[in-house]
Amino acid sequence: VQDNNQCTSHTHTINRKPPSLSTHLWILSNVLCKGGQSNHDWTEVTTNLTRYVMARSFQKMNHRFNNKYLSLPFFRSLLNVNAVPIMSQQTLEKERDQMEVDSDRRFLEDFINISPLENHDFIDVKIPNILHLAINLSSDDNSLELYTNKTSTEFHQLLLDILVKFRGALQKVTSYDNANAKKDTTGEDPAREDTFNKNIHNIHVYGYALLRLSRGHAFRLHLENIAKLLEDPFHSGEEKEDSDEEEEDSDEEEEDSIEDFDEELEAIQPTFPRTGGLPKSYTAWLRLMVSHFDAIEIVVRFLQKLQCDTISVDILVAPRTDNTLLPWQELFSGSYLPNMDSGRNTTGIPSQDDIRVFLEQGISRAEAVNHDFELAKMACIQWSPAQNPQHSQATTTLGLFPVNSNIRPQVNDILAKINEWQLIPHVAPKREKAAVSRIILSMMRHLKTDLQHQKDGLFFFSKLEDMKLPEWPMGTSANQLSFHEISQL
Amino acid sequence: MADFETFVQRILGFKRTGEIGKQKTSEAPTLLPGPDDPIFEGIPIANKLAAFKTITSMLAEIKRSTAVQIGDNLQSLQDSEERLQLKVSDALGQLAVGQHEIVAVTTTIAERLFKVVVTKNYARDDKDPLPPTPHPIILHPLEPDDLQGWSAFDYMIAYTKNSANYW
Repeated sequence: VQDNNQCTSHTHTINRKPPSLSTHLWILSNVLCKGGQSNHDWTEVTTNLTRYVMARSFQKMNHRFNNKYLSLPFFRSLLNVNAVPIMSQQTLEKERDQMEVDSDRRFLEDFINISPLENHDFIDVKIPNILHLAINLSSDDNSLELYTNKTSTEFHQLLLDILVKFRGALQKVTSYDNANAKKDTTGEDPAREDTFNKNIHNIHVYGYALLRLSRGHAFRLHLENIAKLLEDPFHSGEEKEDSDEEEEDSDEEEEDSIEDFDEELEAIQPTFPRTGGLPKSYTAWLRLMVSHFDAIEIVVRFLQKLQCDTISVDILVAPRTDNTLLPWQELFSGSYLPNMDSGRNTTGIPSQDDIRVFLEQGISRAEAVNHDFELAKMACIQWSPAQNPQHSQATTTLGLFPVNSNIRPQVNDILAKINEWQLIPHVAPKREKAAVSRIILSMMRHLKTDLQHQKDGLFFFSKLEDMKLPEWPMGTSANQLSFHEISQL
Repeated sequence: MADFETFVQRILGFKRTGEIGKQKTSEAPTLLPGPDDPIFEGIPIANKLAAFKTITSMLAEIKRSTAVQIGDNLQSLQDSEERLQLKVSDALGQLAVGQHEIVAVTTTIAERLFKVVVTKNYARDDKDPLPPTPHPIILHPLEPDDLQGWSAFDYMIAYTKNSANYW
């Protein structure tokens, strides 16, 4: 990690617009190909390439880190760990992967040792034991143990400090950017440049530190050690996070709704492994947050080794078309896809006929469930308030449920209860009738909830009929690997 | 009717790694036809694109509708060169995308030539020209108009510095 002050020597005036993909690929291919051969060494190339990629992608990174459903729960759960427990013998005996230990060493070498620690706002936590390790680091020592019971608390505080600062730098540069977008930005502004460059520098420094940690042994041990204190981001605290976030980031909320950013982030969700315990999910999360740094390292390492003379880039550009989709029935009609099994069912792969029938059945079921749900909703309205239900309308509504519906027994139970309610004599105490009435309302609500669950399970089919071409709002690499897969490489 | 998730897994389980023509790709489903497959004969290109959009839209909806179990699609990929190729293509894909672009990247290595093909689709903030015809075209990255004799390295640094003024 080097300081980027050298940039100030470049006074070249270039177009005031972000590079197109074509220009960007020209820059990438030329810098990467000639980087190792010109008067710039690979460290210099990597540093400047990283800054450039940060300047180009910080909005995407910021948005990814601050997603309230898929990212912030991880971040906040880590922040909520106050006391780091003593490591169990089982954790202590975790096998050591040499590449992970190397990553820990590089964290100490490239971040802790090189970072200007005398600058107090760079790292705000006291880490005497980790500093001691860093100062006494020997380059050929394969027995480095960054995470021990002696350093674990410091490690946790340092991790949080870096995460907070990484997020802060992303937020600052993004909010600065947003503010500027509303102003006239003609003419150079040295203050703006300073702020921008400082934050890009910080994103680089802290992001690199997080990359090293995410690939290291210490972080893995730490997650194992605090696993019991971590929340499952997919099953707890969502509502709470939701309300917190609304108060904290109301501007972002507005921006999210305008930009409709959710689609890409939804797409990220399934890439987190759900098996293998929370530590794996947390590792996948952190790696995703610093995936740009990872990508640069992978490409540079590969090209260093390859020593290629030329990088040739072709861009296959699809014509712009309207948003018309081919009706899905036609897609599986046999003209567009190979009929993989032609009904012989020897490979276990569904044939196109299988798929079409499956989808048609699913849509019919979704339509039926949606219809039943609307009936249940109507019945609830008609029976509410329970003291004065519109019982004849509710009975009529319930009678509309198809006889062969799978929830018909539930409906029949409700009808029987209504019958019971009607048979309660007028002379009986009012509260007796009211009690039965409340039971009926509760049964109706149960029915509605059950149908809601069925409806959720058939959401895909409900969407299929009116499916529109999604506007993919944030960049997508179609062959983006899942982090489970990347970890296997 | 089979369980939806089981069905999805059955379909998604058969994907990844294969060859289109003679060029290895990082993520070509083995079960899909190649560009010259007779199955495509006679279908107008607009329909092919519409079909592709239907497929991607359906996949997007599947992701939203159900938690697709992540399997190890690389288990069958024992060849370390192929794994590396996949890893590098993925990394280049990450770097190609700035904010809104939609790309797919494939790579090949021949002698000392590293060949990259980036497939690019329309994005709403597109700045590159689109093909004037209804057919896809191949473009090559163009030197910036304002390069003025600078090296790509210096141009990149200037761009980073200058980005404060337009972002």
